[in-house]
Amino acid sequence: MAALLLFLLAACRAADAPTLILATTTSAQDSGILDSLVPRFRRETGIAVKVIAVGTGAALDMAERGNADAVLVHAPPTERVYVDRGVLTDGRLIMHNDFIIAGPAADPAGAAHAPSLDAALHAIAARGRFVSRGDGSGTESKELELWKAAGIDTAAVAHRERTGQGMGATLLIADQHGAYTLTDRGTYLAFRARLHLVPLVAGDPRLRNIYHAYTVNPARYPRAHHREAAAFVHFLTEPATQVLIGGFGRERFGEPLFTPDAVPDSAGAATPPSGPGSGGAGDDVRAVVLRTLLISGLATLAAMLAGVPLGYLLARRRFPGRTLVLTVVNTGMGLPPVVVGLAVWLLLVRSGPLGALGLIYTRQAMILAQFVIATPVVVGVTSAAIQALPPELPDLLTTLGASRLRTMWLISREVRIGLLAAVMAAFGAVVSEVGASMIVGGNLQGDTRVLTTAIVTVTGRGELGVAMALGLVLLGLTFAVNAFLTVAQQRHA
Amino acid sequence: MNVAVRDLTVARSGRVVLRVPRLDFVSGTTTAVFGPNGAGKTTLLRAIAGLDQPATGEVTFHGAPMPRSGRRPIAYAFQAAVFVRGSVRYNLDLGLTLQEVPAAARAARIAAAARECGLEPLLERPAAQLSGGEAQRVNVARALALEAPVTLLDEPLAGIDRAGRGQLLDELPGLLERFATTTIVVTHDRDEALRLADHLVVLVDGRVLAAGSKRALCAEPPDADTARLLGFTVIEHGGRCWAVPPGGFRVTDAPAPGAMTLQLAVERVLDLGSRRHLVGRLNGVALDVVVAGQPPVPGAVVTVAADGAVPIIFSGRPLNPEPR
Repeated sequence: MAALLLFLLAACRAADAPTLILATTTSAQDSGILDSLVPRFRRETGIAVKVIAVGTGAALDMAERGNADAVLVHAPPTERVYVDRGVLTDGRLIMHNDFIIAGPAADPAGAAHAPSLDAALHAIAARGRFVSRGDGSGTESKELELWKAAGIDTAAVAHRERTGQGMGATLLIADQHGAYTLTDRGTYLAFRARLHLVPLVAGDPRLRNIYHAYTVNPARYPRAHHREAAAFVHFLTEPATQVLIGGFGRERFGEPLFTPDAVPDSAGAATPPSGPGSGGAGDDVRAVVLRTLLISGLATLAAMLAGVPLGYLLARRRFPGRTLVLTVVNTGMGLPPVVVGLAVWLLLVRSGPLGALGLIYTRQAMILAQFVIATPVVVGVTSAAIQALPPELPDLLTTLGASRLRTMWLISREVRIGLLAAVMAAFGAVVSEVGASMIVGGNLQGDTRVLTTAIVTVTGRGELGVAMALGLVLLGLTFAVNAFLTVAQQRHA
Repeated sequence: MNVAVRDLTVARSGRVVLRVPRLDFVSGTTTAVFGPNGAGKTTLLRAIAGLDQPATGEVTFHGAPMPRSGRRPIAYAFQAAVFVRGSVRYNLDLGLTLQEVPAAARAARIAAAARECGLEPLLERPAAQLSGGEAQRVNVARALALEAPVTLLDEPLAGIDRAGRGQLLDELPGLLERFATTTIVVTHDRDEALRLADHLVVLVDGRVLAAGSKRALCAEPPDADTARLLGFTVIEHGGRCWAVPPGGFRVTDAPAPGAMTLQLAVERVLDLGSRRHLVGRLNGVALDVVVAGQPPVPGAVVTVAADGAVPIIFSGRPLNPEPR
């Protein structure tokens, strides 16, 4: 069974197109700039970029474990540590924007009128409430650096909460709590329409938010896709790309989000970019829907192929430990997708036991994770349906001379109502899960982004209307699939 | 020999539930496996069909082991009439299909079985909608249509109302003659066993108590338990054990010389309209005897003669069990 699955996975693995894994920060991802740069890079070089958006700390950790080829991060002091350790090389300054301290318009701490950044922080620590990312991100790293420089012990700040979430979510929480927070300007602008928070402190040179790109050290990580990574870092510094970065966001926010800083490798006239895309899921909705159907459909199909025979055996055979196996299956029916995602990620990630297969951040990996989620559902529902049949029926078929396979087929025919229920339960479970798809698929635009992860993406960018619309599309999709299956099921009832 | 059982033991959860040293089912005969509920009758049938793995021993068909998978020379009508989804015709057809009978022959065999078993009006009915009696009839017909060398029927008359049961009981010997070669029928009902079979296997508590031709067993029951199961009344008289055949007791005023006579203490009189029964005790054994004319009143003692009493071996069980 396992061999068959591996074979399937290997077989359906896309033809080896050159790829690289870019570990980057949620703020860069949420700004949407990568969605306009990455497709352009692919057009120019044929190299696909798998963008994994995590906090800066996690991105650097991915690089250290050999699970990324390049990083685009914004925590220079931390970055230096990794460069010194020989993890990162080829560092290039790419761009900057700035951090601001946003807070309630009433400004109870009086931060806006403080004479300096340090004074503003002291005012907030004394009289305000502060919401921190608390997720090891570059933004948190900057925040801690600022508190320290101001001589404030964060442990002593009475009202400092840590969300452990992305910038968008943290802004929404700060807004609801009437609290201050440190945010990059890009994310603030994206969420501005939903916030009562206003920019209160800005302009200090220390609030500069500087992005560097690095490749991982090929000497230390021989399995890394160094050529592709180097090409991408080079691409980011090219004049044409820099022009694109400098213009990004003007369309949506009326002002650019980033200032390009790169010194070009070689001289060359910057050609103006042709219509940078922005906004939305950065992906054709129809393509996302089809991809969602394909991935969850194949996972469900595979789960049926494996789960129905297993359910049949569990229902029919008596063996020592059967009750234990049934208990495990029934527990598996409620397996948290995010745990499955984590387990599959650990298995498939480059530094993991099956890392050499190169399956991490692919649709195949998503199908595998969803298969693991769906199979216990199929096994459980199938074995329950078969156990509800008269016990003489399989014996009857046996005495009539049916082979084992034929008996299984005829029994399946008897329980087709139950089997269709299994399909619906399994498909419903995988099409609506987000944790596993996000972790093992990486939510790559145009590649592994499915409806649920697209919803997370646009929510992260503050496009809540789009998120709701995608939610309705997902609901409509599951309704249509279930309607089709239910009609098929009830026709024979 | 057609079907031979040798040194068979079947265990369930480590406990032996059936032990059959030797049994032979002769080609062309009908054998009734007969005994009380829980005696192991169905267990024996399943072992013969190759459905359960015996702990020891084997079942052979014409000298070769009975196959435990794939096609086998067996048609088995289970006690519970179970069907696959679909019409009666589809259910009859499925067995023939699985036995790889060609399509043309299948239609003819279904038609013949349906005609003989009186199922023609039911053929297109979904099997799930049959009444209990109809379902049992289809269940039997499905087995018969296979025309297998060995036909196994497990309580073929169970779950049928009285009228339907009588009718099928009348028809079954003819149907077996027409469709079956060697038949083994399991029943807990003495009348069914005696009416359907030429050979009897008496099974009690997982052991074969007696086996042989119906006539021989009824002429000389080997022991008290077998005799009792066959409807004999077992009594003690003159210092030894006797089995009196069903209907062998008769109330008499003037017994023939040399006849065995006993005194019956009348406890109750059952008036069934056309006849009356005296219920009482005879040397402690419960007895029910038909009486003609004016019955005696309860408490009276009457003389009964036992015709055709045969001496038997006392099998060690209580001689006068409480009447059921």
